Amino acid sequence: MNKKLLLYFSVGILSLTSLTGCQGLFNLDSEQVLFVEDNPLDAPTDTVYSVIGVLNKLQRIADRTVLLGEIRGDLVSLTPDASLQLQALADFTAGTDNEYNAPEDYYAVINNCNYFIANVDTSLKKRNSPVFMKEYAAIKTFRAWTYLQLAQIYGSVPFITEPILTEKQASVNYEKKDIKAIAAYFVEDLKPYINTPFPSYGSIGGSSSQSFFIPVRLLLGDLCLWAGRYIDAATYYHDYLTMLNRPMPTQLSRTQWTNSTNTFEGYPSNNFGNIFSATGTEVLSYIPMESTRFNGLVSDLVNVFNSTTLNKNFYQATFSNALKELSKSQSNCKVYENTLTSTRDTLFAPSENNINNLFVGDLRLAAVYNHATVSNNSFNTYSTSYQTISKFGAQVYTYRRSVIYLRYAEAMNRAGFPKAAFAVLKYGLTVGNIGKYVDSTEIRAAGNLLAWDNNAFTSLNTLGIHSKGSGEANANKHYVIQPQATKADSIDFVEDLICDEMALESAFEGYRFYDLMRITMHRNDLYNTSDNDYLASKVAGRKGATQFNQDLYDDLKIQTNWYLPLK
Amino acid sequence: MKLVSGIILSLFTVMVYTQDASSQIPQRKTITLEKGMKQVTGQVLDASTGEPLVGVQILAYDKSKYAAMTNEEGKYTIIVPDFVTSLTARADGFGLIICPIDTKNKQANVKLYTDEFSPMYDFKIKATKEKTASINSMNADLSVDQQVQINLGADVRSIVRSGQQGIGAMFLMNGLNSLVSNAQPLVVIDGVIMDMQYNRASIHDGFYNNLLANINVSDIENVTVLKNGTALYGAKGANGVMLINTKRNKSMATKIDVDITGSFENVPNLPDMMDATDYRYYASELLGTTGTKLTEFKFLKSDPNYFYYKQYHNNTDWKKQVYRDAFSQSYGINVQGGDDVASYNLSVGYANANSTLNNFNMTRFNLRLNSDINLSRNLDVRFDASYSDVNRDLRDDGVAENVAKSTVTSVGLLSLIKSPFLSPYQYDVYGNQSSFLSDADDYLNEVIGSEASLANPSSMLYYGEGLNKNNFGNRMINLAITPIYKLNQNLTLREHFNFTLINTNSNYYTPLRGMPSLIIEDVTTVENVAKSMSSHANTFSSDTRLDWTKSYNSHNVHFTGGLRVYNTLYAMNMLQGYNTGNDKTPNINTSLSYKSTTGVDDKSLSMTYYALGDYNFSGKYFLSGGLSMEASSRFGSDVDAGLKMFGVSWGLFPSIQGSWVATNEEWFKSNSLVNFLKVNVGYDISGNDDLDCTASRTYFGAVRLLNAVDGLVISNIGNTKLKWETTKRFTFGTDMNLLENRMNMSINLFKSQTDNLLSLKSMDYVGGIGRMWSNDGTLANMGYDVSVKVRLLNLKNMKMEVGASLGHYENELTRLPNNATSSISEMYGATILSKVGSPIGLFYGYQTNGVYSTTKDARDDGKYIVLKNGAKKYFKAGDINYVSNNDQEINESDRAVIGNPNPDFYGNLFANLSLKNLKLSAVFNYSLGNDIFNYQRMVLEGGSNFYNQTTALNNRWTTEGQITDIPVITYQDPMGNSRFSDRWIEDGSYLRLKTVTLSYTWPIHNTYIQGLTVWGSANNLWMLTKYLGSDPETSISNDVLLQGIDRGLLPQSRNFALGLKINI
Repeated sequence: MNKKLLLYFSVGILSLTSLTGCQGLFNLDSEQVLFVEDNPLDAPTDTVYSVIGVLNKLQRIADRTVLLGEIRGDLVSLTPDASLQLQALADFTAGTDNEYNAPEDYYAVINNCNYFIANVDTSLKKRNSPVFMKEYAAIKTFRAWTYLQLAQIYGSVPFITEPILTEKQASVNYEKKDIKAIAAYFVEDLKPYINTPFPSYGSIGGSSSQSFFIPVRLLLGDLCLWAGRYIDAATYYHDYLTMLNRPMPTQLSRTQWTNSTNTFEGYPSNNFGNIFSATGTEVLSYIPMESTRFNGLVSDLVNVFNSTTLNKNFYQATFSNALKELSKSQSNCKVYENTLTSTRDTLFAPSENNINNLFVGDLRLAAVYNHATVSNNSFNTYSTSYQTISKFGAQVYTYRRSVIYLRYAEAMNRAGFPKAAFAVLKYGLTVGNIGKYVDSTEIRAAGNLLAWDNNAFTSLNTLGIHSKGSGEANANKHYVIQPQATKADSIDFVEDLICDEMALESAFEGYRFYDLMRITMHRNDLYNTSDNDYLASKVAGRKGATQFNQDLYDDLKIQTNWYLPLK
Repeated sequence: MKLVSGIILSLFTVMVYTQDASSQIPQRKTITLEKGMKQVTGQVLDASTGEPLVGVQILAYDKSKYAAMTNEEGKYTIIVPDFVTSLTARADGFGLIICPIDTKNKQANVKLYTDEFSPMYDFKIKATKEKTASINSMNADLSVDQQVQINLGADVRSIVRSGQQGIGAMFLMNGLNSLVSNAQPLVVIDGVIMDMQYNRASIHDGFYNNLLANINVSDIENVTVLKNGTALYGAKGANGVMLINTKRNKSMATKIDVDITGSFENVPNLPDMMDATDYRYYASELLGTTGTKLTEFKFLKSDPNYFYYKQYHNNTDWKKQVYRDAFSQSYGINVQGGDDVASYNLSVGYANANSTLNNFNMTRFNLRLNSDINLSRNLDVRFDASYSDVNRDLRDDGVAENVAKSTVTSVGLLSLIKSPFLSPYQYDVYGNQSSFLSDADDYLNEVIGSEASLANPSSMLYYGEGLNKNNFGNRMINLAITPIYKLNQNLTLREHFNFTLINTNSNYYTPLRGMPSLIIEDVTTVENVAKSMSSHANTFSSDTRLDWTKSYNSHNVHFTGGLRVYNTLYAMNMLQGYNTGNDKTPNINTSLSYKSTTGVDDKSLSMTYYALGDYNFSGKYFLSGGLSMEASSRFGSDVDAGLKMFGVSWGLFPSIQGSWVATNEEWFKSNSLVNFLKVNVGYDISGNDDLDCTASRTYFGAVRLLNAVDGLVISNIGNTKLKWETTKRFTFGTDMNLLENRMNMSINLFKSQTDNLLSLKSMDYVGGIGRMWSNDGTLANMGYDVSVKVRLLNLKNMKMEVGASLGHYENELTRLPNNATSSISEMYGATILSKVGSPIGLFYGYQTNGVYSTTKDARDDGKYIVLKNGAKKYFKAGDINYVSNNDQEINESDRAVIGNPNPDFYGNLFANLSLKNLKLSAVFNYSLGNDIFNYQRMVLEGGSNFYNQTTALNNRWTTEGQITDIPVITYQDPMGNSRFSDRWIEDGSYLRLKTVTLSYTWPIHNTYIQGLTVWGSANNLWMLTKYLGSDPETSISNDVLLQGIDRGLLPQSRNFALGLKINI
């Protein structure tokens, strides 16, 4: 220290006469923080810190990813206990001061990614393999994913790919890009990394770190789907699902009436409600959240959708009438085999159920939803109405299997393969089902898009998505593509079915509003949205057929009202 | 006193005798005057007796080579140059006087007053305005703050933080000169800028590490406050400057002073709480509002044979368990001496101060050596070294900021809110009270759950005691070496090198026994917590200075210029963990749960070039101009102000001051009405560099993922334009001595504007950071201070002097960042408003209009609140009737300014009486027109939980039609009856008899003892105030926005001290 002071002193004196620069003198170091000039990202040890930093920033936008996508959709209704902030989201009146409207949190992810991308020494090699390549790809994917979120939420956003390191750079008026331009940019940006493996950090805090990363192909699929590049989208999804070393069949987890009786009494079996676990095979990727607030950000979704001690049982959101009606309107089919007579019969569930009014039509809502009236203990601050929706855990999921199948179907359908798309819903893609249910012109035209490995995808692990909740969809004579005048009409018809299937399969998971947005865009020659009836009528009808909200409908007919206002 | 005079005289004699022979002017002979010289005659009389004074030194002002002495008739003749306009008269035992020469008669007659009166003149007249207070060592104070308040009442607004020993005061000079940065004056001790560690965190709530308590008050010679001319201090001087000088040797003879002091302090004035019977009624009534379905409660059973009867039927005054009368003592020895080569002042002191709150004691050891060494004819060296060691026993004090969501750990608060029907000691199964301390209470567990449990304060004190549990230690080492080289008669070069090291360590521990579970908000509950903190701060500074002085007849010039390098480091580490398992292993170890660490590493370097020129003409016109230029590591690299040089940004801080001594004008006729009149005017631009050390730079911070791995994220985007806050201050003042120097009056006016206020500004969202430090916004201050003192009685054996001072300021926020019109912050239960056009830090809350007496009243009024989900909830009978602006809904838009913590006037009044060797002095201090938010009362009269309440709650609304101003009690207060409103805002005006001191000096002079003085003092004897809290003088923070909030810190109380001073 003494030496240092002596140095300061002599330099100070010298500068009196010699006018030497003393800028460096004032750049003191710190034990607590790392100044940007001291973080050149050129050593192997730098890799992990940046990625962990980005994951930490992703935690802040995790809940919002789900809430903004779901609360604004048609599948969820708020309870009287919902906060005014959530109410404003649902009513599309949220302003720039709404707590869920914080674009800076998204740009925090982007800026950290941009810093890494701009500064990392990609040429650095260790044992002749590039040190930073896996992280480079992972961070590029995070950045693209975050931009996609931004574009979904805000429509058109400032597009920045260089790090902002001074206040001056932050106040520049950056060019804005909409979702199509963003998709176009990142498809090219990510393409080179489709085969780059994830960084291998093993288990972190008891979770497999592989799940923290976003599969590049899936994100590319999404980007292409938003951009209207349906073939490309279908290809990325297909390639992801059918990778040789890790095929991803739908698996058979479902909720259904048991086949052993010819009645629809008692309780349906439920292997659907238990697939929403970060450690299972259904969830493909998630944003890792802290397990206790003491350590950082904990997902609050469970306190919005479920009764907890923290919210004193006052959950703020529940399923909407629209979802209930949609579930109810599905025809649930059971193939009953009389073991004595060896005769088989297809039976259809009645539209009423005495045990549970959700045990009608599609059973997936009933499979994840549980409600009870609990007794109040000695103090009355807790609600007696107790709700659990078993889709929320400690982590916030970003991708899961069935959802990918539905997006693949959406892409295939729009690409001109409605039969193949419908097969995803009704039969499940196996070689046998494709050959049987998809017409030969589609098969020929689809080429590799309908190549599903005979060994990897079999009836033992593959199911039509609709069968996950609506019984044996493959045997359901009512669940068909109704004859349409044109192929385009068929495509619209199948798209409606896909859209409904998305509701039944992935309600509460945060995809809904964007699914509606995307399908509405598809139907309107993409971005020249002249007719927004599709989204507007669904959302305005969220309270059920009898409580249509005309004001909201009128509001949502204008596309700019879909988005949150930017500050 | 005589001793001091003796020292002055001997010094003086040395000066006079070292002058060359030509200055020995013959006194009586009539000589032929040289050209340009004049002969002045006059007589010096004792003002009290009218008798002539012999041997009074008469000097030409600022030209001490022209000197004379009075003869037996008190007459003198002095020959001085024509341009000399005034003479200085001084004599042993008398105060110095500067007397204008009557030009016409060439006469200057002087009446001298004994030095029992406080001085009216300084040896030098300055262009700047400052005020110096000599520190009287006849006090039991542990820190100089109290003396600043007593002696500089209107010059510095000082608010003693609490009654804790040596806790110090918040100081404010010239209004409030910052919004979020430090607004405290710069403290300069013996020429060294101190990093006072303002706003550094403490692990004990309510405690403030006052570094001034490291200095023994009796080591301090004087304290000077600079009212203008602060350019020398560059970007650090905007809040005013306080210079503290420690004692140096003045005597060739060895002198030993011994000080022995003891003091006794009474239990402070505390709120009047309900007794057991009243509280039981209160608690049972409140139970009815919890919604409980239980019908029987152990503590409400009145059958004396019931097993738990005794446990719940005590009448404990918990205050007596934690407060006590306290005794403190201190000892000091001071040795001065030396020869013409080296002289020294060495002092050693020890103090053991007990606090009226149990286990808040302080001990201090201090050692100081100030030495002056004459190495050669031209080279002098000062070498100063000091060491002090302060140790404290500490606990949390006061109401916590978020008291509703945390476990109460302040024993003072616990002693007020703890249920009086409980006992500090357990009962055994036979119903006999044991000597075992009770555990935390659990009488509400069956209804509310354990979150309502309160600790047993006696048990907390007992089991929390220990060096490794709750303690605070602070060691300060200071070394300074100052070689002064005289290059020639006019030119001096000096280098002042200083090193200060301050090490602090503290432990915090809440015991398991006697404590309920601790709540970690939104996480969990734990059994207890242990914290450990250590910090070290070191400061290196170097000040290289060239001084040049020259006189050309009537022109006197002094020039100072130099470079100051100031380097500070503050590093702190804090460890914290929960669940120690038992009270025997309170240390931080790996087995604790929820462990965490925090740290600070703040380094800063500043470099200041300064130049200061002083000029005076004929002792009439004084001009002082200064310019400093400061670069600092805290400033951004691209500041758009000041000067860009050597690759860094330099702030420029000029100042110019002028003064005019009207009484020294030739046309001014000597009269007995006006003896001295000085007018001064000045303009300064100074800065405030209290910026976050790293705010101007972009950096990464560490984050942790899944409590397992660390990552780095961009945590700050540097504002490269970040700069100092700039204060431009205009001052105007006058000093007058009137009525044959029997009255002194000093007036100082200031008007200032602070620009570039530091503020958190929202950064464009694309930065991803949210907010950043930036300079935006302005505020203005204007005000004045006036002090008057009158020598009321000047008899031979009896002297009496009275005086008063009055300070006033008006603060106005003139612009906020982002062109906002107001900003609101919520702290300690208060909503604080800073609004453009108003003073900063106003209390902003709801206005009340009494309590609804009947259901009809409430219904007719129809007011309601809207719950979080949008539902309406109506006010009922017994609820507060809030004033609403235009509709029936009571919401945030109904808030209004309900209080202003800034006083209209503050200052003090004093009287000194001396009767031969007996001296009596009394000082009052006052503050008028300031509002206080009584946060403690909000908790003690909120009526929303099971804390014991003050007796005021006996008058709560209970029945339809009852007229009262205390609302109904309701568990958790759903209607917000106890919200931040004018119910809790009180007038904080007070007049306090701060201190009364009586001393007697024995006229002993023998070989062994040179002097003996016995003194006694009483502090805080009496106070006039309407304030309902314990003490209207309290400060919870140095933050200007947190002024006037009373969180119930230990109040100051009456204390009596007795001291003995022996001069050997």
